Amino acid sequence: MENAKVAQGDDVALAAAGDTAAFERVYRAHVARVHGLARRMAGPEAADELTQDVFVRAWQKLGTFRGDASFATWLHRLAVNVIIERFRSLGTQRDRFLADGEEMLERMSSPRPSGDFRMDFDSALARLPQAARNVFLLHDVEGYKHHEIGSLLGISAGTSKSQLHRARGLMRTHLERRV
Amino acid sequence: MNEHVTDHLSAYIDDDLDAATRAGVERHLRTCQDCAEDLDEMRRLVAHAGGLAARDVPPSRDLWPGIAARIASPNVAEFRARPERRARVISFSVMQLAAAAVLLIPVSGAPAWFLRGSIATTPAAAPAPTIQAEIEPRAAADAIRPVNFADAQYDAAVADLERALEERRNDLNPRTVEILERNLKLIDAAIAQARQALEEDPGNAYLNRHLVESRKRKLDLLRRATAISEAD
Repeated sequence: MENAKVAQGDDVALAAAGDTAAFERVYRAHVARVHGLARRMAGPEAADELTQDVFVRAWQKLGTFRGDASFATWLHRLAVNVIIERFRSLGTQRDRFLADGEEMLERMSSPRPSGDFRMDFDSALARLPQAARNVFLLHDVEGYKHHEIGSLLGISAGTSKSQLHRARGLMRTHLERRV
Repeated sequence: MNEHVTDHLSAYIDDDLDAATRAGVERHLRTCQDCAEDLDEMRRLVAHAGGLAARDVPPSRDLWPGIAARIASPNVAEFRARPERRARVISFSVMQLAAAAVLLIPVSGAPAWFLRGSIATTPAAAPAPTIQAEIEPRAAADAIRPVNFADAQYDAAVADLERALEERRNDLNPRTVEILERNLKLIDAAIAQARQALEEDPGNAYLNRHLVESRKRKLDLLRRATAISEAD
C-alpha cells in the first residue's frame, strides 16, 4: 500500500512536469472516485463529460499542487469545484423550478419503487433539489464538514446544516414509498 | 416533548442539538415507537450514503482517449500552470540540463552534502545545494520540452554532466570523489537491474517506475555534484 502511494506520488510529479503517460496512470488510479462524484452530483448523463473536464483541469492545475494535502484530496476538491462551476454556468433554471414547485413536482413525479434499494436510493437522490442534494452528497457521502461545504458552495455553515436535514428528510420520504 | 421529533432526528444524529432539545428528543424516543423507527431508518440512510464512495467503479467506457486529445491541444497546454518553484540552479548551461532540471524532484540531498566534504550518516537530513544562478522560469520553460527518462535526451544530459564533472575531478576532495563514485555505481547497478528485468517483462509498471526513479536519482546526483564543484 505504501509503495503504491509512493508510486502514485511519483506519477503526480512526473505528470506535473508534462509526462502524459504518468498522467494516464494518475487518471486510472482516480477515475472511479471522480466519476462516482460526478454521477451522483450531476447525474449519469453528465458524468462522463464532467469527469473529462475534471482531469483536463487537473492537468492544467497540477503545477499548483504542492503536497500540502494528499493528491486524492486535492483532486476531489478540484472535481467538486468543476462540477459546481458547471451548475453555475448552466444557470439556475432547474433550481428555481424545483424551489418554486417542489411539492407539486413531488406529487407529479413520484416514481414506482423498483424494490432495489440501490436503484431507489439513486432515484431518490436524483429527485432532491439541487442545493439539498449537493449538501447531502458532500456531507454524508463525501465526508466534508459544514464549514467546508459552505466554502465550496458559497453558503453559510448554518445553511449547509439546514439543507442537509432537509435532504435527509426528503430522502426518507422518497425511500418510504419504495415498498 | 410529546410531539413527534421527526424534524430533529437529522440534527440528533449529528449531535447538533442543544442540550435541552437533545434531552427532550431522547425522552420522546423512549416512549414513541414511530420516532424510534424513524431514527433507525435515518441512521441506515446516513450509513448507506457514507459507504457509497468506497464502492465507486470506473465508468463503463474509457474516457482517457478524450482527455488525452484535449490535453494535447494547444488551447489546454497554453493555460497549463507551471510547477511552482524557486529559481533553479543552472550551473552549466547545456539545454539538456535545463530540460532535465525541470523534471527533477529533490529525491535526496545526500549527494550535495557529500560533496561539501561532510560524511553523511543521515542522508535525508542533508541541505539543498546553494543556488548559484537564476534563470527566469518562464523563459526556461519556453526553451525546454518535457524529457522522457528513457530517451536519448536524458542520456545526453547525463553524458554532459559526467563530462563536466570529470573535467573538475581534480578540483574535488578525493574523499568526496570516492563517495560520489560509490553512489553512482549503486545507482547504475539499480538501473542495470531494472533494465534487465524490463527486457523480460516490459509492461511491468513497478519496474518502469523503478527505472525512471533510478535515472532521476542519477541525474539529480550529477546535477548537484556539478553545481557544487563549480561553486567551490
